[in-house]
Amino acid sequence: MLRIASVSYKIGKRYLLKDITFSIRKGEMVAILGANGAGKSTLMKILCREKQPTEGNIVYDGKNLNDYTAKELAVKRATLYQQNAISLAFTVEEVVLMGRYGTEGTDADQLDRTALRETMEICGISHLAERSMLTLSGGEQQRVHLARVLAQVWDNKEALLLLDEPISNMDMLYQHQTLAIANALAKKGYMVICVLHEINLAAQYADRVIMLKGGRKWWDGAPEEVFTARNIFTAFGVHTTVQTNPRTLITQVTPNGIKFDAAAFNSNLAREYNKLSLKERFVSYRDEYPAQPLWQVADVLSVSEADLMLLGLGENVTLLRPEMDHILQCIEGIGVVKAVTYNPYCETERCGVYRNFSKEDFTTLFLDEDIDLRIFTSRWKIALAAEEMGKESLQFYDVSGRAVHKVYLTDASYRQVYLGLITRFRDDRQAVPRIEKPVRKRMEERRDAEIDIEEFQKAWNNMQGTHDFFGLIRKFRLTRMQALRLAPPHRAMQISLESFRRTIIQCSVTETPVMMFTANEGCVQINTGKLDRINQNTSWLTISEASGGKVSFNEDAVHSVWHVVKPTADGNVNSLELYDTEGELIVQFFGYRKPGIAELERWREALGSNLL
Amino acid sequence: MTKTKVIYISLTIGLVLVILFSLGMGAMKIAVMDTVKILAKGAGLVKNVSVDNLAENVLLYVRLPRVLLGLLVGAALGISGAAIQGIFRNPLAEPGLIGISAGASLFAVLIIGFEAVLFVTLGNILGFYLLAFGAFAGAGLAAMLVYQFSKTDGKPNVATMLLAGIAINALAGALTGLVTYMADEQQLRTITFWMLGSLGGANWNMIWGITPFVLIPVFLLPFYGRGLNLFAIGEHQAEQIGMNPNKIKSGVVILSTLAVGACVSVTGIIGFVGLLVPHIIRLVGGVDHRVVLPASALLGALVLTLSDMLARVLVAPVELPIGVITALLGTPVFLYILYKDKKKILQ
Repeated sequence: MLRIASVSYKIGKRYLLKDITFSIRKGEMVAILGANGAGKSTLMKILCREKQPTEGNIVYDGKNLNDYTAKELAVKRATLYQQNAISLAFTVEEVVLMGRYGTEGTDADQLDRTALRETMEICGISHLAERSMLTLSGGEQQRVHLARVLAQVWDNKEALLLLDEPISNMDMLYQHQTLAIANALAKKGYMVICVLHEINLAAQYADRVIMLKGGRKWWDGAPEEVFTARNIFTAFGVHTTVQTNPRTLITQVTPNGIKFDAAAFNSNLAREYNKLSLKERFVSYRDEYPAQPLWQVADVLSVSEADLMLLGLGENVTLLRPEMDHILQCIEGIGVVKAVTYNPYCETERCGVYRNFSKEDFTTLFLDEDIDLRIFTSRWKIALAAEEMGKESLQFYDVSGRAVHKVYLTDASYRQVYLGLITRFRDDRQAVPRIEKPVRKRMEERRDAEIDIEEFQKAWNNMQGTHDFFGLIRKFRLTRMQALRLAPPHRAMQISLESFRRTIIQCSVTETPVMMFTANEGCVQINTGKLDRINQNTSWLTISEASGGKVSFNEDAVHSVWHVVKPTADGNVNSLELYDTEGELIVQFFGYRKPGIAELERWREALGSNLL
Repeated sequence: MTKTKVIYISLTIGLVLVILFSLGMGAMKIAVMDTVKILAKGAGLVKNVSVDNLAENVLLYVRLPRVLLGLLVGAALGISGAAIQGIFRNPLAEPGLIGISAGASLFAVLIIGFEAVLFVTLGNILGFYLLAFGAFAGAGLAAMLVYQFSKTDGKPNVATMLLAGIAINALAGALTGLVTYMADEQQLRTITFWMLGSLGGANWNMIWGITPFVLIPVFLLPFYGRGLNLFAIGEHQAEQIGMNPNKIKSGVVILSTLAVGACVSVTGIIGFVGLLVPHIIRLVGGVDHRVVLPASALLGALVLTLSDMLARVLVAPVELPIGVITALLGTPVFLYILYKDKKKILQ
């Protein structure tokens, strides 16, 4: 057995591998996958003892890997490197026999000859025996080296085979043959660790798959468990369709393909294209992809949403003075409107009247059954009124031109009041305001060792309200993901998206009112009510609430789902929180509650029965 | 395996023939049968043979040491060349690459240049061997320096060794040039002659002096055959098959320096043998170092003895520097190989 225990490898302060732990039994073939730079090759180098781990250790057959002599290891472990340049004109046979240099014994010669014949046969190079290595193609050379590596441990049926991208130069037949050989040897007791890039080949031949990302082990399991569209997207950033072949029950992954417009990245080709004004480009793109949301169009044209909206300045768009609180206060007069808030992966909308305006230190609040908002107007920089295809709205953007909130008129709105509001707040200059390039400010996660975990857990257990959480992570300088990871026992548990779905469905069946929080930089919109319908359209899951409010989010973007428990003065508060790959919150679900009133028992039941 | 046997047998026969001819040829011709007789008598195998006294003296005290020196130096250069090419995984490498020759020349030239001063102080102690000792020390020192510089994380790194070798060679070359610039005419002739190499100074003391330095490497280096074979597919690969690449590297570098340093110290620089001989062996007998190493020693001995004979007889009674002959012989052969068979030895 081979056991890799908390192995880390770092150069300077940068970790190439962090805390890798897994073990392999005899007879197992493990494929290691990951994007470029995920740490696969470093891991292989540590396994074949070319590099020493900075932390952790490796135990092979009950003995630390470093305690073996090179000679002892030579008969227990063979490594096929990714690159095998040869400098002299050795013949194929000579190279394969080199694998046998480490073997000794009385019948060595006989065994050597058997190993030579059989490995050359299985690798399909018997006919090349007398040829010089320098005259072979890359794929043929790789097969010779495979035969050499196999020959090295041909007599030891419990040996470890380390194959670092063994099939990179081979044609289709030998790709399959090579992995089939590895798989067949594993079936007879060999341990095989194989770095692969081809997901489908790994699914077909490996017993187990380990996916690395950023030097950490992210998933470890059977191919059908690990290879889900979401995991593949997280590891490789490629959208795929994953199916199971009904006949062979083997997982098949088809990438959805990436499309580029050469004009978008080749400034030479784009010269003509760029002569078009942004407006012309916008219009032509919109015509081509009418269904794409504005923020996606803005992304493609690498401008901000506000840039695109402001193209209509003087036509269908009117710039308002950025007196946000005044404007917000006046919206109540328009009557029933539709409030919309979104972030890249989640969108929420709800019709209602903007009642009960109030202002705390930095937060503007609307506290009503329908329109329930927490607004940070300091982040709001641009206000405008727009008319798009007959729909009139007030829209608000932050300093980098991202939409923070939108208010659409409905049939039940008082349009006169709306028009009056525009006249009252109209910016006299109607000049395009300055929009800054978006800056991604992300907190660098600190090492766990630098954090006073005990204090943090104590503070968590002493929280008095859900809002204390923000102060908590600020005080201990944690990212949200880290806080969840280091939470006290039973305070934050990662659950599957499937459990999440079951919980939501149960809430819908038991008519449990749920609060759904959708947030972006400048606004939090809370949609509260009994869940009515749950629809799936491609990867978007839409949850409708009884009075017509909706929350939709992109399931493909969900990287982890957490069940979080925060103690408050009114007892424990349970929430379900969905995060994207960057550790940003997508959407959050609470049972219906108010300060002073304990959480609903039905919500707890729904959580309990589906999660534990 | 029969091919290997053919190579060994034909090389041995060739070597014996060249030795016999070489002993006979020169300013005073001695017939082959007489040569055999004198040798047999000298070895005490036969007693009652009448031989020419003058011929006996010439053969035993002039020709024989010279031929033996040629054999030793040739074997040393051939086998070290093969081993160094194996270590550097580069068919263009030769012992000079790790600074042996340059270090030796620098010290030799220094000694020739400062002869007057040095002979007064050290002359009596070291006598005529001053030049030889100096050159040997220079060779060792240069190789040491290159080896130390090439260490990365405590392990000798081949690419760094190559670069360090180039640097040390350049430095030694520059210093040699500087001394040459300051030398007078007589010293300049000595320097030039030394740089081109010669077996002319051969005597029995010299033979006894360098024999251990040459024979130990010649008999030990073939044991690195498997290791050097694995080096051809990569150091890491060699380690995976149970070899210790660092031991191989240090072993080969030390043994080669020992052999080549000892030779250069008594004969001056003899070029091309170390580069050319292993290539001819590889062309004929394949690239397996277990064959290439010993066969290169045999062929090196053969080529150098032959070259020395030609150097003595071509323009007799004047003697050509042996470096001129090896280069004149070697270059066309080498170019022919390159033209015809480069695919076989190079990529």
